Amino acid sequence: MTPIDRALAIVTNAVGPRGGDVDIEASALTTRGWDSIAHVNILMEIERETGTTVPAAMLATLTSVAAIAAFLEKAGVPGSAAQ
Amino acid sequence: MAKLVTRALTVKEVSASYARTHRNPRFLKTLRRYRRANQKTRFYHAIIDRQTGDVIGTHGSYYIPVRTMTVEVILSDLAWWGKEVVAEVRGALIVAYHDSGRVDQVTCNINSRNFGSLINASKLGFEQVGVNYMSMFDELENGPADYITFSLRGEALKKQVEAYKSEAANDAH
Repeated sequence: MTPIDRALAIVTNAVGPRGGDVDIEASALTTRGWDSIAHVNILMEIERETGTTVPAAMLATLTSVAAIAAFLEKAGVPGSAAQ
Repeated sequence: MAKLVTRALTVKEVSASYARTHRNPRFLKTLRRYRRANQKTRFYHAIIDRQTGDVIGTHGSYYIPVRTMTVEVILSDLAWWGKEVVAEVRGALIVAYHDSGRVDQVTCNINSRNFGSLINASKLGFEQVGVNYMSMFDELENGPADYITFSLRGEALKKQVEAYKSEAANDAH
């Protein structure tokens, strides 16, 4: 599973069926269901996944699938075909 | 139609809001930051459910020289979390401040661990302009908290005001 796949899974799971088909272009501005509650779940899942606390300066930038995928990739997660 | 109403907070509502806040330790810290409104540079608005008339939270606004208003929302009724209350209330107040002709910038400071508020600010067009590391004590975490400063100004502010007015006009029809 690539970081993009993982980011898509995290966002899709958080926004639920209201979000429709979430793709790489999706962002909080364009995706139904990506509300404050969903965002809490997204960031908590990112931190659980990476095992780290997202730096404060980066938190406000993680508002799209692409940004989340880039963060996961930088953090070295997951990049494993076994996942 | 907007689901909420905002108006100046009454003394009775302040007490009710305090009582509700006291019952939930999550909001205790907000009490320490509360400053009485003077209706000149510091305002407190009650956030009221239009259907029931209940006060579900408060919205504070503080004028900072020069031509800047900083805003904060305390949504003490958890049942209203995740229902875009912040977007509706803050949107309406941003329009009011902008149209007053006295405000060129709206800012807010958000605890970096308050993920829900971070996305609310981003959705309203606020741009992250800085991080104040270890700038407040977080009672829940029992340690220092980082606060992210957001700003809405210039073209982004105008765009947001127009968007909100357009949405309000559509709702009215």
